Amino acid sequence: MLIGFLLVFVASLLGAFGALYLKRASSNFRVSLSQVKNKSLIVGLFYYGFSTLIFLTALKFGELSIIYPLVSLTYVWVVLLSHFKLQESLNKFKVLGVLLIVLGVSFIAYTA
Amino acid sequence: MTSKTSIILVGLSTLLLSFGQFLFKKGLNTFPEVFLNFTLLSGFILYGLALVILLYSLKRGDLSVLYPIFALSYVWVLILSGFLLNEAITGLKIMGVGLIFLGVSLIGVGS
Repeated sequence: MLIGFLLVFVASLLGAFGALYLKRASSNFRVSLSQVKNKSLIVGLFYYGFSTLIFLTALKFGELSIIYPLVSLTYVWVVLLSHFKLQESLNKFKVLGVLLIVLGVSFIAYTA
Repeated sequence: MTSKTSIILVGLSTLLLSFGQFLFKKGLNTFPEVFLNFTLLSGFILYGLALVILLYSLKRGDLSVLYPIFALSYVWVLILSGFLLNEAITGLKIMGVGLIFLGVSLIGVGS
């Protein structure tokens, strides 16, 4: 199961980067074919796609009810990344939320 | 102000996503030798659909309301895996999912 954990860890990190790029892409997003030139959109989708593939691999190494909750670590990465890369402000809610997620994830990981 | 439509859409997206995850796991379990099987494909379709609906509705709603609804996916997945995949629903898992749900909701409030 440890391999599964490691893989989900990586997948969540990649997913967070994907979210970061998609956020950047959203500022000039319209539903049209011209979006093919939207670099942030393409990179973001690639990160997401890659993250999903790794997650699927992780699923082979563990129960869904244990592996899937670990995906919530993505929120932790997103909060950190959006603060340091997009200058979004941290507040007590985000910090507390991150701590609760980490706590919840450890509980679930412990059941393995 | 979050429209009812947004809430319903995110709720729907959450259910689709959770069921998609179940199909992923089932697909990976049942046919270990085949790379792409029907179950896995259906999972992808539901997953893609869920993402599209999610992206659409995230633009028109308070994150403090939408995040918690989306966080319910962890609850649905626990239930689905317990009943459809025969995975154990232990007290520790329930507590963990509860904490994650609270954590994600708080992040939504803080966003």
